[in-house]
Amino acid sequence: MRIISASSISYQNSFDNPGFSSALIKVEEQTKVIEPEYDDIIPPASTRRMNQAVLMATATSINCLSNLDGKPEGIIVATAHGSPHNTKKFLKSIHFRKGNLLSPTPFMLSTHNTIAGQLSILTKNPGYNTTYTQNSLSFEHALIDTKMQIEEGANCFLVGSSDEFETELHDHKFRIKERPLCIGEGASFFIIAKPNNEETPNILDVEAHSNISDREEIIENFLNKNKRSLEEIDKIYFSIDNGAKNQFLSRFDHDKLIDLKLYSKIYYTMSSFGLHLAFDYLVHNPNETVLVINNLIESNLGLMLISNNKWF
Amino acid sequence: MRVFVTGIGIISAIGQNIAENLHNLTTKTSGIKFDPEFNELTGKVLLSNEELASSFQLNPALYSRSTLLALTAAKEALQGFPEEQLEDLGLISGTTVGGMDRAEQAYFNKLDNLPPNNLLDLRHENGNATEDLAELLGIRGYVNTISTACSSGANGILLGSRLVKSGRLKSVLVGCSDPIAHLNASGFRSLGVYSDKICKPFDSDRDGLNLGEGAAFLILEGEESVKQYRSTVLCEVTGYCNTSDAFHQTSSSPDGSGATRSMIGALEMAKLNPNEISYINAHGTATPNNDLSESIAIKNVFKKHVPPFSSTKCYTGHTLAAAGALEAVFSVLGIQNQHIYPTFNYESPIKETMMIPETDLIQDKEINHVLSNSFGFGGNCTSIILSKFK
Repeated sequence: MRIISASSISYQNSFDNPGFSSALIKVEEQTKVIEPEYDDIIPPASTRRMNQAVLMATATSINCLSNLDGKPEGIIVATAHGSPHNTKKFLKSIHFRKGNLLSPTPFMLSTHNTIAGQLSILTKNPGYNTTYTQNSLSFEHALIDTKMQIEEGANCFLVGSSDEFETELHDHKFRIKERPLCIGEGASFFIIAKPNNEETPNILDVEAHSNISDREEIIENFLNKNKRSLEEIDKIYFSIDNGAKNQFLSRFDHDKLIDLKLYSKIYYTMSSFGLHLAFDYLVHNPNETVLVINNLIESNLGLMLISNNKWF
Repeated sequence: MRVFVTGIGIISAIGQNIAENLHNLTTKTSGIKFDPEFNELTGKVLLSNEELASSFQLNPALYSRSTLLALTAAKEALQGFPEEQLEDLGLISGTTVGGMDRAEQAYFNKLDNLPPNNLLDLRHENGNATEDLAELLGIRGYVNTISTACSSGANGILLGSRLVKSGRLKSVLVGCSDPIAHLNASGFRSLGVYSDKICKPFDSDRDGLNLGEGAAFLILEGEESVKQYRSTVLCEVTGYCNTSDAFHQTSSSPDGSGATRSMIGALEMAKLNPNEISYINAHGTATPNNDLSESIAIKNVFKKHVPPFSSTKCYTGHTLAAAGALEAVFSVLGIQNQHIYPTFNYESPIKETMMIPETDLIQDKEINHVLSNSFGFGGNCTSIILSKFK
């Protein structure tokens, strides 16, 4: 799958800033995401009602789409938490008003597919539209669907993830052992298309495995399937929960490893930011190959292999 | 590669299993009753979490009601499924409420400056609930959760079929589960879409929906797997299509554009003419907006030859994400038994379209191809076609 464009709102200066992957700055707990002027990108009448997840997704999607002639055939969104801001707003109104007339707006905007729905309405896209919410593997599942769409004949799709900071309705500590646990937020969207003979970064393969028993074996099989050896991988962006982290990482060349959370904090769909980093890196290093390892939840493993297509 | 349905399971307001649901569909027995907990007419599953959990010797404190309902329906679908075939089975679940039935309790406590009753209430996010289900069923590998509101069930069948057709999975368990929680019960109240009577789909005096809860699962298998394991084929998935209305977050466009295109897309994929459809199981929530918009869309596609159609939401209520899965199961039953299940409460047609739903059980028509519609918030429109196996 060819990546035509990528856009992220993150703790790095990633928005509309090609080359940002070579100037990464480690985040502190108090660091906030670096955001554009949303009203310059999105019609202000629309931004009024948007919660953070929708704002970030919309700005990055519009940014991606500005590079495209024509419309993608559809929109696929990955999100672990959807619209928690609206859910909480609505729950508050139920709890304190007890039966008095409730405003429906926060409820209407609280479903997980609000992001995808709002994108289709704003960009007037009548095509395929879906939302995956499989915690740390949501984005990989979105990419697998995209791959099938392209196999089925689609030219291009808008695909991405968005998750706003959220710890009140869900405690990540149940699934992620990392301590201290620095929860963050972010959105990354991409225009993904059928490969052609242009020399641009391509996602060669993507896999998502749940309830795994042997991480090393799955990674080895993935690389073998794609006829790559570990030595041929030039950069590895990874999220690995505690477990046997150090033992696992020791098999890789230390210089190739980038621990995503140091630059993005931790949120379930952060592997999409890993993909944007890979894309940005490869645009400036066209002869290399990148692997994104998503083992954020120990029992789930997502893998993405990215390279410029001249290496097919 | 052809895709077949080889197992079904269900739990809803009209029964805890397939046999009970079938019986009530054929005797026009609704499961919608006044619910004192939510002060509305609802289609509730008549089992508490404790009762659901105890049939599997589980501790109810550990699971969301979504998971318990899903487990009940999934286990029924998997009856007779060989242990060795589990290796090749994926899981796609869908939900709107997910673990919010638990998380909202924790949040209400927080708003009162109290600690959560149960720390685990904050563990039950959507994807986690599906992983609980996978673990309880012994499924590993491909586990995914769809959340497209009321079209989730149909979208699960669509995704599952494509995964099998593309050779990525040999078989997949697809379905949805949605319980009634304060979040969705109050949510629909705030939208002003409830009827204070049992709903009247496609009636000119329809005034709203009844909320329901439930779960339904289907096993989808590719031809190779069916041959290898000698699975019993119930019917075939022959067509599906998902489109966006791209109009409004909760209302359907007045010209039914998204729904029109999803039905046409499903027919094109199944290579069927509209007049080959034996029956339409409509989304038919009985809201003024949906039933008009859906009727217009059906007329756009079928013109003067609208096939027999009905909505089964007067039996179960609108079960949100689970609706598409429940109604797919009802469509399978329609094909297996050569039935068309009626809508009741209907008295007079919608003026703009004058379409009359079936109001009696039909048993003497050949049922070859059933079209099922599911339309969700965000303008998400999905149609699927199930066909008699030939």
